[in-house]
Amino acid sequence: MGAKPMEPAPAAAEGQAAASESPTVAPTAEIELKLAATAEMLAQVRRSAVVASAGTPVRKHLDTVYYDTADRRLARRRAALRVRRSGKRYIQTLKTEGELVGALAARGEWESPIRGPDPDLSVITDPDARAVLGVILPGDLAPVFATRFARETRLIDVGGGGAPAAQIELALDDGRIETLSRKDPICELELELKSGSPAAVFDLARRLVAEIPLSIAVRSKAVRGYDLADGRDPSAVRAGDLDIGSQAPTASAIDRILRHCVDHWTANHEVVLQGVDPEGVHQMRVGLRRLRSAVSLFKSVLPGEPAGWLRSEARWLAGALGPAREWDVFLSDLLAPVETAHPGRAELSVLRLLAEEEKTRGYAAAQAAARDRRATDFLLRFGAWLADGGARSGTEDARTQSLDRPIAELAANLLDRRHQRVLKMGRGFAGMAVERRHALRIELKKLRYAVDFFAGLFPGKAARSYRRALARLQDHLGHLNDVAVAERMLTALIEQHASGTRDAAGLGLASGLVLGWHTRAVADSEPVTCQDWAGFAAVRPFWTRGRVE
Amino acid sequence: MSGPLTVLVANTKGGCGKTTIATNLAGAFAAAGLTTALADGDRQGSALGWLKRRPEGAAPITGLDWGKEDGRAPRKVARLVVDAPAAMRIKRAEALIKLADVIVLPVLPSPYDEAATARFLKRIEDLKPIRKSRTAVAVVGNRLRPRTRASTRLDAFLDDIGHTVVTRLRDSTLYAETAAKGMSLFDLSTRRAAATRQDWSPLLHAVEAVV
Repeated sequence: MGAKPMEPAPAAAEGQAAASESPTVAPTAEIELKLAATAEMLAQVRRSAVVASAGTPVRKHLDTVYYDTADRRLARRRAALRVRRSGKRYIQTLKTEGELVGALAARGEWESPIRGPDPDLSVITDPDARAVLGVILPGDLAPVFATRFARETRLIDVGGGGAPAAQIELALDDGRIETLSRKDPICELELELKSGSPAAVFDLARRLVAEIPLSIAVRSKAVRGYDLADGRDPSAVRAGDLDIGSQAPTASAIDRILRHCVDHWTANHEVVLQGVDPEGVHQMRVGLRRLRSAVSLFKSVLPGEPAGWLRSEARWLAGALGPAREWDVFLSDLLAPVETAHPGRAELSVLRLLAEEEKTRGYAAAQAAARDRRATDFLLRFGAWLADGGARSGTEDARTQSLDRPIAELAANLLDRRHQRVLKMGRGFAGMAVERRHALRIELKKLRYAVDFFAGLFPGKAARSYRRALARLQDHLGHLNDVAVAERMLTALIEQHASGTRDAAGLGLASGLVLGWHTRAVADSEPVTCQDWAGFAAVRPFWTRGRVE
Repeated sequence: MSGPLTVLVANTKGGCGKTTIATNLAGAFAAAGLTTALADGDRQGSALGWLKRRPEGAAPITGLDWGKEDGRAPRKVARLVVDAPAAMRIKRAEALIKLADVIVLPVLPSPYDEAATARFLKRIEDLKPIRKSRTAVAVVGNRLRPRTRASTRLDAFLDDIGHTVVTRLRDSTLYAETAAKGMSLFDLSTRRAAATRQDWSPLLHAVEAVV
């Protein structure tokens, strides 16, 4: 909401439901992306060759007040009403974003000059706009927040020398968001395509990121303003449902799925930076894992070029989030129950202290990686690739044909393959060695992601019971893995403190206590785990029924 | 959401002010510049009669005759108000409730009305959209002054069955005067009308809050 929606780039997925489906990209869609900066970085941007050569910028001071009802009706209806002061003039703008009330699905913008700083709805007569506003009674609207910032814009011509030509508007915004009691700085840059190839916007952004460590920005100014006014922290976002439609050509289905995963990642970016809600790190990592899993799922139809960097960059970023997540799980799922059972044991307190330290280090590393320009560049590279045609780009004839066929055909085959693989690896489940269980767990996770990606293609009971059986089994094997991971982490922790001044023996004892406790619990739950395996192995695949010839 | 925001004005008991509330709600929507339709579910067609009397310059409202069976709102309608028939079979009530985003339930401060209201609420509360809280129910006290004995008793009664009054509409001759001319309180610019309109704010807020 607020700033212009950006398509098809994920970099500025506007609004918070970034992990929900995105509308298909229309050729005329506006391309706009946003990057976070510091004042020093904005100065560097001004000095960079490509920007400096664009000549003198146009400078404006923008003073804007956003209005809504006490129950935030406009925000709920994905609309924003603002009055912007420009010298002595006041401009009122109502912006809406799809999915409206009253049988309308319009994305609209209504702008008109008004006499004073207060909104004047009488100038809005378009029924589409009125339908969004609904009945607004005198006194219903009140200021929610204001944005006050200096904006510097430059038109930059890129291309030539073989690269496609394009004109891009670069805006540098420096100022703040204000409510009655709070303030939040605005320091960001926005790139908007004026003419030419959409990929050019991403290319220019990548050139800047190569020089200056700009980072990903997800929330629009309007979303940030509402969050500030209502005292809301950005909250962790789950993957959400994906419905690609069985008739969708394979190529666009792949684009949708990859974008869905990337949106899942970026939607949690600011939660990770906030560093409060552990769910943010978890969800961001899941998004990246799903992305890797999707790339490997489609390896037969995806060219090696994007597949290679998609996989390696996602692995790097997910890896950087690993310790934060692992210590979170250790503290809450493994250590806490043992503490409850042994109140007042000093050794456990020492372990908690050290684990909390590790967790803090893990969070710092996770935040550094999320802010790292490598992450920014990864996202921009993905955006450029999508804008350039995505899965369909750079295709040879042999692949083109399969990319045009409906996704449902490929989906059934891929699900079949992953399902068969799991069954094969699960033979002799009861007496299986730990390492083989782990390998099976990973394969199950891949199957689970594939099932999630294609779930929308196969509605019905069969798919639901399949997913239930799968989830149950994963739960048990997941705990088994947590214990194995904890053993690795604790071994490293003990080594690290072996010659330290802290109580090394106590640490060893506490670690043994925790591992012993949970190893026993895993052993106790073995019959149930075996039952769950049998339950899964017996469940009927759901895709045979929905399979398209 | 697809389709218009739909308000169903219903109660099994006749004479509780359904048509007054339906026509004034439609008038409020139309005055706010919203594309509005008013569906008359009653064979007597008093809501449609009101529309026939509506003067030329007034904010437009499309009339729909649902006396025999329920139809559909024309495309582009942003707000649909349905004036339900007094005696509805459960099947019809179910169909109308399924259509509605909000049910407005007018009650008069009388023991007869209370009993009828309690029966009606009990009947509809088991219907899926209401059970699953997809449809809101707004009870409106009609011809009711706050802090009177009748009003206090009605509050106690509603509290008993788990509801509260969203608003109380005062008894005013303005309703009869405007109805006779096919108008609503929202078509008038007098100070008296503005004061009486205040009663409607909580209801309009409640209706707009559902989407």
